[in-house]
Amino acid sequence: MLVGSSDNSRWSGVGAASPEKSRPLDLGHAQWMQLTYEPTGNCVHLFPVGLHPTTPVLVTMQFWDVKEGDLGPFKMAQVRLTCRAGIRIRALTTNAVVNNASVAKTLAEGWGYPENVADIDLSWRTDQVSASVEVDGRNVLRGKMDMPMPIGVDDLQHITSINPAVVGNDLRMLQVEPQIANLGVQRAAPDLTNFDCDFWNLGDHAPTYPVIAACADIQLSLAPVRFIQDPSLLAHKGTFAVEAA
Amino acid sequence: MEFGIFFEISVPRPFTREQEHEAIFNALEQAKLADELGFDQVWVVEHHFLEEYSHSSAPELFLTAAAMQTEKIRLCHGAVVCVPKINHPIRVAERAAFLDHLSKGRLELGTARSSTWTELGGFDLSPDITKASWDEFVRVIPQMWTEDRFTWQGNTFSMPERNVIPKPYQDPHPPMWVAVTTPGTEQDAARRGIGALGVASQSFKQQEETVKRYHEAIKTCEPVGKVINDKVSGQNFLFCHEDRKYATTTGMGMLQQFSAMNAHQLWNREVYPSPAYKTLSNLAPAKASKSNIAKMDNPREGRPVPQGTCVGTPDDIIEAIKVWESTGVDGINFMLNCIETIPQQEVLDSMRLFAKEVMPHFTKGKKKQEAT
Repeated sequence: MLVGSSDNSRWSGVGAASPEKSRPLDLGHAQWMQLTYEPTGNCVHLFPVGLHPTTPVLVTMQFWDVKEGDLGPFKMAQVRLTCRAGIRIRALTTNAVVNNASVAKTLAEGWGYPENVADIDLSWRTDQVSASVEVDGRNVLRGKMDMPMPIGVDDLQHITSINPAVVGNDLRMLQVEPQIANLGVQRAAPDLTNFDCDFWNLGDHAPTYPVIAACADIQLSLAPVRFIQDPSLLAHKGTFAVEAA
Repeated sequence: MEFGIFFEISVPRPFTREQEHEAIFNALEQAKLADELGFDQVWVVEHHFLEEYSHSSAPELFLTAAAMQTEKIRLCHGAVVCVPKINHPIRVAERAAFLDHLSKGRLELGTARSSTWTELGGFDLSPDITKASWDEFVRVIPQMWTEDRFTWQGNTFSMPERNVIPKPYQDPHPPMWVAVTTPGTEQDAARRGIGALGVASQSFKQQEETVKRYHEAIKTCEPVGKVINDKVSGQNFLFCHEDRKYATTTGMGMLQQFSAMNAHQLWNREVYPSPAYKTLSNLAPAKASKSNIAKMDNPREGRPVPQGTCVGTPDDIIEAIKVWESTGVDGINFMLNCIETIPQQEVLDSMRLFAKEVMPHFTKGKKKQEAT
């Protein structure tokens, strides 16, 4: 079975997390959009040996516009790569940003998201849903979907994230499970007009081949982290339950 | 009960030309032996880009080679991907008819639509159209086989009036099947008068109900062809050995490899939101029965054999097949190896032992293809 080829040094810059402190968060109503592309080149080296890259790997650019809930309103953008932990489909987060420093800190501490703050726009119109991310005034991601058409709420499947973070003294992959109820789902072709590969930690693997875009009205909550994985071991050997604090 | 073998032609990593070559020729040798031993069918899948899992991208060529070295065994496309960008329906009809001649009337045509983004994305295809194109294919191919002048104005392909040649050797035409990986597809098969190849993963009790409903529905079908194929076949693994412990360890190794590789495919359902794929359509592994768990000398030495799985001694396999027989299926198709985990000689020995000790316990209740 295909496995990743990177040692832990690739994630030497990730922050610390305390998954045992993660607690259930009701984030209420949110708007969600995801652009999916295939990247260029062989991405095996973007994964640790404990994860199985999918064939092909897909890049998902996901945006949340959270309107209410336990953390108050905030926006988030994250870029992930599809893979499997054991046989289960997962997406490895390569970078993420939040437009609210306090929320970014909470999500980093409990769930291992990168603690980055950026200006995020998610614009929702009938004929177009678009998103952009600016860091220090520089655009690092801009994309949209034109003329989205409704599909069934059960036609959209969400993929659990794997967030790399330092837990204690060790690099661990945190299994992050947003609970998402689709209230309405639309779909269209993705249109990515700007993507900064370096910022999102994709190296030379630019998202180039469009797969699909989807947007949804959702009800969102974040469950406590239940499992973490040693990235140097396959999931069936290296997955551990998180003991609640 | 009919017995067939089927090939994914899986190849272990790291890939080498020699590894691929060996996997293909090992499968050909198994097909030749299956013919000599009295197996009824050899099925070859069609997959594209599914590294390791299946390197069987040109099954019609494999079946042509098999036709040249076999006498009686039925040669079965299991199954042709019925999407125009992958296989134009005219080419499917032509190739199948030609192969039917080369095999002197031994071809059976399985149909499918693909369930992975790896394949459909690779051909720049939208998963949305595959069910519709499959439905057009199964309706037009029998007409292409039997009509001197054929024309079609369809939703996924059209053609002006032409004579698609050659016509098949079998008169009126080869039997047709559809690969069933999603619950409900067997009803699609029944309504069209074609066979159900495999049954979507479910309990044997559910399978019995599924087979019963299929046979009920096909009584009132509107056949897409000139013959009705009213058979349902199951999919299984085969490793037969006198030593149960060895059989279990070896056979379950194959099963686990296959199950893991199957689960690792990138299913449309997971990444491409579409009403056309309501389930993963994968081949989820079966569960072990309590009786099989009890049979293991030491469960830590290997996973117990799921109920109905044809891994074990001849007696174990007879018992397993009786479970299948009770569901009403007409045949079972066996996977014999997976990424060459079992040495070729042991695969051949397993087939011989099965033919000698197991096959005689089951009568060949072959149904005639009903002419419409």
